[in-house]
Amino acid sequence: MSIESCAQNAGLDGDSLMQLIALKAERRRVPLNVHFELTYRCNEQCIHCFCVVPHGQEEEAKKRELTYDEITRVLDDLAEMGGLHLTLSGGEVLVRRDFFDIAAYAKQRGFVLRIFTNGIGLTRERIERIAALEPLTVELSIFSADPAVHDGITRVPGSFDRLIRNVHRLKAHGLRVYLKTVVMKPNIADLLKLRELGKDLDVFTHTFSCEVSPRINGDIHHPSQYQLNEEELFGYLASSAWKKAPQPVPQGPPEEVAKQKQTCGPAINGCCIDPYGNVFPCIPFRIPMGNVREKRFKDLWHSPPPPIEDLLSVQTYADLPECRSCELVGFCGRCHGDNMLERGGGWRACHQRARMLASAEQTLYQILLKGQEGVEHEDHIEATV
Amino acid sequence: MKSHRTYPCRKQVPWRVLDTEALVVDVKAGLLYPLNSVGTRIWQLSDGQRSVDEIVRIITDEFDANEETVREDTIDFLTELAQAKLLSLEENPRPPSAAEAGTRPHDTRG
Repeated sequence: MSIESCAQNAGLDGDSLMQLIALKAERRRVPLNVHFELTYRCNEQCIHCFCVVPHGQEEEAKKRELTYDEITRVLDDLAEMGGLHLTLSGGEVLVRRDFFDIAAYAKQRGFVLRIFTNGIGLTRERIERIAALEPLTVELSIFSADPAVHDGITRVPGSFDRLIRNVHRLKAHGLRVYLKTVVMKPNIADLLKLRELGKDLDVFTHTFSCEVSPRINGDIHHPSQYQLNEEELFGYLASSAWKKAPQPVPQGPPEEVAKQKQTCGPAINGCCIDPYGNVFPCIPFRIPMGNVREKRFKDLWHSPPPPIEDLLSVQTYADLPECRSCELVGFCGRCHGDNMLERGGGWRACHQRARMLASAEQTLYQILLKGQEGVEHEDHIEATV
Repeated sequence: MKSHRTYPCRKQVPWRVLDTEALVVDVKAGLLYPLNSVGTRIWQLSDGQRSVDEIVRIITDEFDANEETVREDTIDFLTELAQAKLLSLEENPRPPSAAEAGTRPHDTRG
């Protein structure tokens, strides 16, 4: 019964343990990880945001949002069902006046909290209240080390300075600060400075992602104009400055790889709940399983509609006709949800953006194998696609 | 440890029972502890109201095991949990509180 032998980092570095937990949760379909979007209102208006409520429409959006009582009823269901990791996200969570009441209730119900915020609305008093919640992480987006570029993306003058000031304050309270950067056309030029800034700030971790998601309202073209094209993406991935080590890739004929390679599994051990009560399999997969205003969460979770049953039936790439013989399958990290948003449905077909990323990864992998580029792994800084 | 006068009491940390295992999270340290079925039962019984002797009796009965072996393992386990600051070893029983009842996670076993 030793606990020493099985103590691992929770969601931080203990990948193997988290996989074991995920397997247990999958077997019983326990909603272990829940992403709760409390509002889409935001005091920033990021150019690439997938969910922002445009300024001027906040009041209308606010009227439609779940109330405190509705949210706590969902949290009760989740706690009963074994939900453990709860991400409170937006929009910007702090624009809700009852945010701290909601978060305190979640803490009382025994959830491990992750709090997503843009950081600009934090005050000393709010940071003290966040510290009292003892979240696992406080996660903030940063787009550049150049204030003008960052502010240009958030479209809020001074947002960079406020963000940096509040990162210092959060750290001073002993909070685990997690910075996240979406790499896109407007900020690709100064990523190295940004990486250095993350190191100087001594944050817990700083991750970089190249994926710009389509808007959930069906606006594909607006965010996608900021997505790196294949050439830019390859240039980013191949830069020796990022020192990205080649990842093991399953070998063999595509048909065999496809049988072995699992797809992402939304709605199995987690879900996303939007501010209006819709329960989705994950953040981008916008076919609702139901609405908590019409049905208790525990009831809708266990009686998914046919499109979600269809989603649940897909386990490996071999279950997807266009993927099972694709030569890029070993490199592909398709997202059913992004694919659905890009296509306006038809998520089973080839995900073109994932194909582009996989192609860049394959080219880079082949170069690395030939030893034409020297790379080495570096902890805490990850270039992910 | 005087097992008849020691009352293990869980700290208010996030935890859930999944299947037969418990997941106990030390958020400050960023550590997650999976407990096996016996450890999970001991954790559940460590409510500050039962002595170590009482816990040993229950575990012995429920798992049909040798009492001395259970006692030794239980004391070792509780000591480790206390060292990890996941529970405290009290000299007096703690009355049930409304606050604790409200935070008590639920068992998801079917």
